[in-house]
Amino acid sequence: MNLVVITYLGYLVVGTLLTVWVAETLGRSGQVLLIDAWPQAGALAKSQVHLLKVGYYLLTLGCLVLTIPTDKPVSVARDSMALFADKTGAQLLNLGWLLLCYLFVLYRLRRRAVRDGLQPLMVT
Amino acid sequence: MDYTVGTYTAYLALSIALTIWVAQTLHGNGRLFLVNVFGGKAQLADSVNHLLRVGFYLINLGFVALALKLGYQVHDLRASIEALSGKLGAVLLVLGCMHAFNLAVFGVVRRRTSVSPTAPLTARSGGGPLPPSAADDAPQPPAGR
Repeated sequence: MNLVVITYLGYLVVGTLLTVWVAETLGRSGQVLLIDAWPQAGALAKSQVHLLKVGYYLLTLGCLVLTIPTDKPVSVARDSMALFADKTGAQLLNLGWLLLCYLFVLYRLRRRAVRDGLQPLMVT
Repeated sequence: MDYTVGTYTAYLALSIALTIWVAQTLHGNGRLFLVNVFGGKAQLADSVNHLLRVGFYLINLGFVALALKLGYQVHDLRASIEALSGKLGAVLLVLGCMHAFNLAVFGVVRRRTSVSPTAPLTARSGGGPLPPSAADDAPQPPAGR
């Protein structure tokens, strides 16, 4: 296994851990946000946040995996670290702006729930 | 088995597993969302949910199969990882975009059919879900917001 492959794998592992951490944080906090607006619809708020979370995972992991390849030569540790920093930084930016988009969506859901006093129709 | 075949196999295994996982998650968690979208009609929501899952499988597995071919030979682990990343990343993004599109469509459907804001606010003040019969009889406002 050469240096490039090790860098790829390191980036994949670190990027995945970061993604999972951000997505789970988004899920936990988003649930609080929606349940606060829709106290009587805990299950609905939970499943809605879960749906949003799945979308977040798909988009961010898609970017993570798509940006793996590089055509720069990687022969010494310095190149490897530079490459790793480049890729991880880009992934962090991706996570950040998509998180902001999702916060906006959550905010709109919450606002609509509060404004309309939406009746959650829970039929199980 | 050379690297190309290995890459193909890994790609197929990973993307089929991913498709199944996403479809099942959406099926499980989308139900309540759809029941809410369709004004509490659970049977309607269930059948739409089922149809959506079938469509999701068809489109995604079709895409996965079509995107399999590489067009060049893979000779080492590095090239294999790079090829896999392009393919799998595309599959993930397509899955994500389809999911977002579905949610957006049903959000619009819900806005059009949501129960009127003037409906009795018993559930809001009293807490606890509406009983199924009450939910089925919930007033349906005319389309539009």
